[in-house]
Amino acid sequence: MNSIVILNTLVIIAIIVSAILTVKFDNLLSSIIALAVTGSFVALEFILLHAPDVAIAEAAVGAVLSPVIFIITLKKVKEGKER
Amino acid sequence: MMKGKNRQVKDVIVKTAADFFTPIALVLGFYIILHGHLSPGGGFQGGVLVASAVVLIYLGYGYNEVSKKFNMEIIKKNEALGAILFTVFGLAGIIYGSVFFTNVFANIGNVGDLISSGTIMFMNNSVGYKVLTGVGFLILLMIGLLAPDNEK
Repeated sequence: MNSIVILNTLVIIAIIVSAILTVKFDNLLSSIIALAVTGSFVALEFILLHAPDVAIAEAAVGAVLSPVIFIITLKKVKEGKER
Repeated sequence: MMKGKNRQVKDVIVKTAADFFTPIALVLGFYIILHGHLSPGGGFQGGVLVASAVVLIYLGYGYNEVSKKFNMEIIKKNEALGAILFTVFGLAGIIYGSVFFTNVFANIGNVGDLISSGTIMFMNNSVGYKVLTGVGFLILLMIGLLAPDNEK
């Protein structure tokens, strides 16, 4: 089997596993970090499929921007619960 | 007062990492915006990269430093300026060419040069400016919600 095919398969398995972990985690912070890991692996898969244009956007939005916004929202929601 | 001061003393590792990665994010973002018509990426991708530098500065130095460096009103007006610039470069196609979004100075330079694509490059730059200010404003708004009341 071609080595690129093996790498593709491994990355797709990593995407699926981290996406399942995102749903299964009880702790919401762990869930958000698993979502960021999913975004990083999706960006890697875009690079493997020769779409660097989409990969840059996915890496910036999926791995940095949306987890930061989710973490800020989570912190804000937890503050409201204590009051 | 003492408690607020202790909150600002961040971890050395996080501060050093923010110092190290902020210039890289800024240079890479502006490179991607400027070379949007030549290499992968464009206005949106570079703008988001530049705006993520705000997150790095916040992680390293806290909300007080960030709010001192950026004026929210000016950022809000500059976002509209990006949209206006994009529309003006589109309308230049009607005035100098035939239809909306016609490329005006298309025959300058060799293929692969920085200035070789006419108004496409300037439209890309204005999209990058709009995204950089818009996403940066969004992030500033979100971390402003997170800041404790005594730091506002």
